[in-house]
Amino acid sequence: METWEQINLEIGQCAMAQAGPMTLWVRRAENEWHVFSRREPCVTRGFSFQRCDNPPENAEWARWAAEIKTGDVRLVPAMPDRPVIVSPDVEVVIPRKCSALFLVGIPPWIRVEVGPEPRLVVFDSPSAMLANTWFGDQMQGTLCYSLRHAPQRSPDRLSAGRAICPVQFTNETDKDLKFEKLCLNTDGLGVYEGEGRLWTDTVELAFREGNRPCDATCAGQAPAMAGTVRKLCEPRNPGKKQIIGQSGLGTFTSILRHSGR
Amino acid sequence: MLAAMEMDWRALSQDRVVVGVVKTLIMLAIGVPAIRMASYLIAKNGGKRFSPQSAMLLRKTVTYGGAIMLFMLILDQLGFELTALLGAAGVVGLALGFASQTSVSNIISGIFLISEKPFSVGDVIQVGDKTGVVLSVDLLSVKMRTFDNKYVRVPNESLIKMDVVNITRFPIRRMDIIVGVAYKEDVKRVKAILLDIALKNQYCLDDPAPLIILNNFGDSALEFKYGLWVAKEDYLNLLSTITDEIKERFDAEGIEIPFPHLSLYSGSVTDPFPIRIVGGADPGAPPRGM
Repeated sequence: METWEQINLEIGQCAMAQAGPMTLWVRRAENEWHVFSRREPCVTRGFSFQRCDNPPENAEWARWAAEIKTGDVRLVPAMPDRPVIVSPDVEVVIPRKCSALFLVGIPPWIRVEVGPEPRLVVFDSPSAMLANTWFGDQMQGTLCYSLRHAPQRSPDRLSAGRAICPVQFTNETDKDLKFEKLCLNTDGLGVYEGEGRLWTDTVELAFREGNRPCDATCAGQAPAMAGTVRKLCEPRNPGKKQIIGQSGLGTFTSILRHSGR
Repeated sequence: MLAAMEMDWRALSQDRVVVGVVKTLIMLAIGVPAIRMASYLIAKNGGKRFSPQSAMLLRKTVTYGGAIMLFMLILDQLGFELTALLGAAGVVGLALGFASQTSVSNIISGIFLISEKPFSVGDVIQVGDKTGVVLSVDLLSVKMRTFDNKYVRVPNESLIKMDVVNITRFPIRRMDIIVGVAYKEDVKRVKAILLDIALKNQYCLDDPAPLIILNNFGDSALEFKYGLWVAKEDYLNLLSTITDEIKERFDAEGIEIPFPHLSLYSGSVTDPFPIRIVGGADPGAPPRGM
C-alpha cells in the first residue's frame, strides 16, 4: 500500500489524500506548508495518497509557517483521541467457557507529518466525524465517540476506510454473558497495515469469577489474520494500557448487570 | 559626672533606635520578598495540586497572614507593647464590629460558602438574573464575569439567601427545546425526524438518548419537548447548530412550523361572520376606495 509511503514535494507542489469520507490536500510553499480538508459524509472508500496538480481553487488553507528545508510529507493513521463505544446490532450472547472474536471498525484519525525527524505534525483530524456519546451516569463518566457500525466477525464486512480493532472476548465463568455495549479506550492502541487493511493491536477481554471479574489487556501486536504487518503509528498514550482494562471492566460490569448476575 | 551619664544614656538610646531601625529594614527586606515569593510559588504551582479555588485561598491566606505577622514583628522591634496594642485593637474591633454587621455577615456567609463548596472558581453559575463564570470566591463576596463581559460582585450574604444554580457542576447537560409543528402533521413522523436530526448532530450525545415527547397542545401548534444531552463545553455549539438543522430539515420534509394565529368565530364555526353596516351610507353606492 503506497498510501502510507513518504512523498517528496517541491515548493509549489501539492499532494492529495483520501481517507474514507475525507479528502485532504497538502501543499508546500516557500517556508510554509498549507493543508486543507473536507468531508463528504456519505462517501465510503479506502485510503490513497498521491501527487495532485489541481487543488481546489476555493480551498481555505491552514498555513504552517515552518522553515523546513526538505519537502518530505507522509500520512499516518492514528487512533481517536477519545474512547469509542460500540454495540452489536442485536444482543449477542457469549456462552460460558467460550471465546469469541469481534472486529470493531474504527475510522482512523489522519495525521500529516512533514520534514525530517522529528517530523512536524501539520494536521491531525478524524477521517470521519463521529457522534459524541457518554459512558457512565449523568454525574460522572467519560465523553466518547459513538461507533454506529456494529462489530463484525469477518474483516470483509467492515468498510475499507476503517481500521480493524480485534477484540477477543473470553467468558471463563459458568454463566452466559450478554454483549450489549463496549467502551474501548483507543489511547493505548497502535496502528498497523497488513493484507491491504489497517489493523490495531488486539484487545483481549477475559471475564472471570470473583471480585475482579474482567481482565483487559492489550496484546501489543496485530492479530494473525492481518498477515505480515508493518507498524504505522505508535499508541497516542502508550502508558495507558491499564485504562483499557478499566473501560473493559466497566463494560463487563454493565454486561453483568444486564445478564442478571 | 551626672552630665557624663546623661550623655551615655543618650548615646545608648540613639544606638538602640538605630539598631531597631536597621533590624526593621532587614526584616522588611527579607519578609516582603519572602511573602511575595511564597505567593508567586503558590499561584504558579498550586493549581497542579489543588483546585483553582483552593490555590487562590491558600495564596491569599499566605499573603495576608504573612503581612500581618511581619507587621507585628516590626512593631515589636520598634518597641511597641503588643499586648496593649492588641487590647486596644480588641476594643476598636468591637466598635467596628457593631458598625459593620453586614461585612461580618458576609464573612460568616463566605466561610460557609467556602466550606460547603456549592461552586468553585471556573464554574458557570446563575444567581438571580445573572449568569457568569466564577472568578473568585472571597470572604466578603463572589466575583463573576457574565457572558457579555460584565464584572459582577455578589455579596456572600446574598448568595447564602438566594437560590444558586451551578450550571457546569456535572459533565453533561440536557438542553430542552420546545419545537412546535402544525396540528395537521403526523406525530410519529415528526418524532422520527427529530430523532434523526439529533443523531446526525455531531455535538448531541446519543447516550443518554434524546428525549422527544409531545408535551402540549398549544394555541397554534403541537408542542414537542426536545431534550438533547450534550457535554457541557459543547452546549453553545449544539444550540447554534441544532436550531438551524431543525428548520432546514422541516423545510425539506414539508413540515410546517406554525406562527401564532387566532381564528375568530361568531359563535359557530360554520356560520359566516356577520357584518352590519352602520350610518347613512347609500346602499347603491360603490364601496370607498374602489
